[in-house]
Amino acid sequence: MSGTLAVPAGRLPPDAGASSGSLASRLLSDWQLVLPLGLFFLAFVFGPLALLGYVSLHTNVSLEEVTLAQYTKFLFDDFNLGVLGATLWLGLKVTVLTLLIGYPLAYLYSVARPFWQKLLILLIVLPLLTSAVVRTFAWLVILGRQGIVNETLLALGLLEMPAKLLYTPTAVVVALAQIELPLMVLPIITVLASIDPNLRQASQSLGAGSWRTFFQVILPLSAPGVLAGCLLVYASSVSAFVTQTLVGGGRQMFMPFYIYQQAIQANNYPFAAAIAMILLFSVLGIVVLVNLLARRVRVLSHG
Amino acid sequence: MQVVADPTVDERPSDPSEAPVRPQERALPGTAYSAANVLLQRVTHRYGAFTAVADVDLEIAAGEFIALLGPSGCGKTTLLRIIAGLMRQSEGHVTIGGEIVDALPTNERGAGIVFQSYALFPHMTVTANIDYGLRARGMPKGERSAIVAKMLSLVRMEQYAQRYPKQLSGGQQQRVALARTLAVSPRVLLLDEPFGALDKNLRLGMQIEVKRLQRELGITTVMVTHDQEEALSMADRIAVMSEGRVEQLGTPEDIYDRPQTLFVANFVGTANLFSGRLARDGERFSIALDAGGTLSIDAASPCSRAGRVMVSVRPEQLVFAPLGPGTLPATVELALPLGPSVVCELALDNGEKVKVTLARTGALAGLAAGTRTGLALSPGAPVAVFQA
Amino acid sequence: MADATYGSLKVEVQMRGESIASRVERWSFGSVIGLLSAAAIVLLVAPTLIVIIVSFTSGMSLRFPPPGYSLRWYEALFTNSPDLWRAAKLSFQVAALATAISTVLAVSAALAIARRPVLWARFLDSVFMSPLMLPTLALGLGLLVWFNLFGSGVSMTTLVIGHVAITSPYILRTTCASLSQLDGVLLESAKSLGAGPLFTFRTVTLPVIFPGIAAGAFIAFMMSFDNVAISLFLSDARSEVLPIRLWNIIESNLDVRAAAVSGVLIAVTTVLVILMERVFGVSRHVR
Repeated sequence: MSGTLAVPAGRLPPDAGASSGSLASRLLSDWQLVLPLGLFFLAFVFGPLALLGYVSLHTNVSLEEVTLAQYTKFLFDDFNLGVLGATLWLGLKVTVLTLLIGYPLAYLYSVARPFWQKLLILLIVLPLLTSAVVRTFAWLVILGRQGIVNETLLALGLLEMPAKLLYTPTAVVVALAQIELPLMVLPIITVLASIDPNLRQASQSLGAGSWRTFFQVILPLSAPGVLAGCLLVYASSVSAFVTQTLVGGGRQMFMPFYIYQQAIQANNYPFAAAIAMILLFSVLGIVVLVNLLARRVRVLSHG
Repeated sequence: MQVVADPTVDERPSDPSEAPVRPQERALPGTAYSAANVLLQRVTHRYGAFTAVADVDLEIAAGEFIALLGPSGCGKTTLLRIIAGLMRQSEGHVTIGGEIVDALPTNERGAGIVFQSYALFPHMTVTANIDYGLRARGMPKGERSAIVAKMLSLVRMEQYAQRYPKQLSGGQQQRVALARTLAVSPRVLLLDEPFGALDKNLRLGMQIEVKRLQRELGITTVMVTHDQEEALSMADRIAVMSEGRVEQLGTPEDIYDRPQTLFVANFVGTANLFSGRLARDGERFSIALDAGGTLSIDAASPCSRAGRVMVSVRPEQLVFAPLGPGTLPATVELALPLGPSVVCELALDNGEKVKVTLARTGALAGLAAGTRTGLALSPGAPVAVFQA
Repeated sequence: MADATYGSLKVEVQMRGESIASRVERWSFGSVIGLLSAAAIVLLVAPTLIVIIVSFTSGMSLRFPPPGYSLRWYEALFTNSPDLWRAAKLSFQVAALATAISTVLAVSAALAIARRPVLWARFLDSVFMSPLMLPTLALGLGLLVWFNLFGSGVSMTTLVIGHVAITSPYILRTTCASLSQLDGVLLESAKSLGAGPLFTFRTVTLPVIFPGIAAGAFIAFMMSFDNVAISLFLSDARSEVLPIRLWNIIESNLDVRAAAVSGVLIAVTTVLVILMERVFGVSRHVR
């Protein structure tokens, strides 16, 4: 009976909808409320980005002739492509590493007692809100010539000379993994909390062990959180200028520093703009692609 | 019952801004309850193509307690929200205390509503919750605290005045919600499934409490419920609703003993339904049941025309009788002792099941599964007959 | 084997152990989760602890473990670091202004978005959230070009504008989340008790969503205070914000004052986070 009598889905009763926002509805209309932020974004987010795109289509800042020269220059140069590849590859490595250790941490949180949950969440949120420069600086202390890693290895006699740990690809990945870890853990915590705890017990009472329960029940159900976490970490680590530059040093070039170098140090704004556009669209492209794939999988798995 | 001026012959301006008296000026909040009558005329509400409330006419006298009873989705809550002014009907008029309030927003109608979830403000204490409506009216502090104190004692919540809603039990929350609504002296009290969120044990206590308050204050009350026992025990009159329409409006006895439609007979209480053929038998009527046997009744109501009919017989209207002419042969299948009574399920010879309620007189021995017995109507039982 | 007595009944009961396979499975799952989580926790906590320890060194370098302990670098912050204080003051001003402006803009937009039909809200939401996904550096460069072309170059104003663009998404998100938690029945209830729209907003909506707004504003402030990518392009030579000053110190000579500054920042952040967690439950709003 309720099936035929239910209000058609997606259509709120006209008055019931209005009531949810009666607060200022008669003082200011929705559009008046959205307008300030909307205009701000047009003027100071989308406007500048569009301008950046426009500048990238020129040879110099006088903006006379429209050309794709900056893009061809970028795309037909092995060094440039190497920088792009290294940046995207870095993002992938960081994402995989944070997922590998972040998921278990989120899982641990979801089964912990309230007291430990409070402590864990503090440990996860604190770094997120602590200055990234400070956290990056920590890695310089840890990985430096006189840092804790080298001192320990020397003391154990495993090394005779301090090893060069800083300014290596691995150092950048590890440092970034630390910086981005909260962005991976938090969405997974949220999605794990929304899974009915009875499902785990149901699975185990049906005879499935811990591993099977995890891989066949918990992991598939937490996929949306994993996806959100991966996208956040990827987008963030690909453009993490501070850490890439300080831990990676001058010899490892990544896209963000390349933009900065071309704009500020070489004063080549059109080329810097083109690099920025390429970075922007590669990140955007990957985000859209992954989202589409995820939807595909969801449609397939849910009939 | 009070006679209401016909609002279609409207002497007052329909523009609400020119309405001479605003409801909240009518009575000093918290001091006097000027119960108002409520009149619904041809009220219809549609959500897109779906009609939630269809052409409802309802007259509620001042001080009366009416229950809107029906299954979920029957439109009862929509109707309540229309009276409250939380939504505007597509067609028809709502009149409260003799004035058409269609154009008035809910805060100017003088209709107080208690929501199913109580909707207590979580960030305010009990006192602040009760005070809220008075504060919204800009009443001076001195008057307000006097009314709040009175309300707290009315619902016996004095010692919880400084608690927050989440520190209260469900029943206590409901008392606060009630006090908050009553504090502003509404002309009509609207209750939306008021006991739905309470445990069964608590529910009876709160039902008695609400009924007591309603009596004491003499406030016109409309309660939405899907629980027939609640409606039967509390309301002066019940409007049974189905698919947006009022199927029957009447006192609890009317509804229970003289259902006017098959839906009402089925929805209110338990009913055994038999198909058969009605025939006049001198002063009386007889119904030849398809399942075998014949029922003889004094009066056929609401349908008394000979022909194919459906008969609704309540479990307590049947008694065990020796097998023989005039009784229905049946076999006991199951007997459930439910405290003071015993409910038996029996099978007729054609396989149809019948429920019979018996007083628990001690001997359950005759109710063993497989016992053959006859069933007869208890004398004078008002069975309901409907045209098939 | 054991005997158990139930009333007058005597029953022979046998303890049945968990099978070895099941024990191995449970144990292996637990230890894998435990080890990886431990790695994650160490990774989260260790760097901060190490910075704090190093900041108390008595030596001239960032050696770990430090040769000795002293407060000399913290003293140095107070005696001969006008550059750092200037930068901190500027950072504070920019973050405060940007947070105030983005709070007004984002909260008002959130009020509208929260009551829009799903599709519209989704669209607006993703539009206003985009700065969180886009490379901030690209936005910084775009703003620099924009201001050079249409304005009078960079200034404190442009710096604040840039920061508003990256802080407003945080406030928008937490406010929208709080609004979606706000039960519509509460508003109806206020209305039926005679409250007008403004009174309802002041007494019900605002108090209920306030923790969300406060948490969002706090996160926004911290993100602005920490921002490098935008500030790098939008501040002029005279105005150097704290993270960039810190960066310059780190990059040029790895001055141990950097550790002391970090120590102060970590301490202040920790205190603020714990405080905000107590009062507004910030962690509920960052997810």
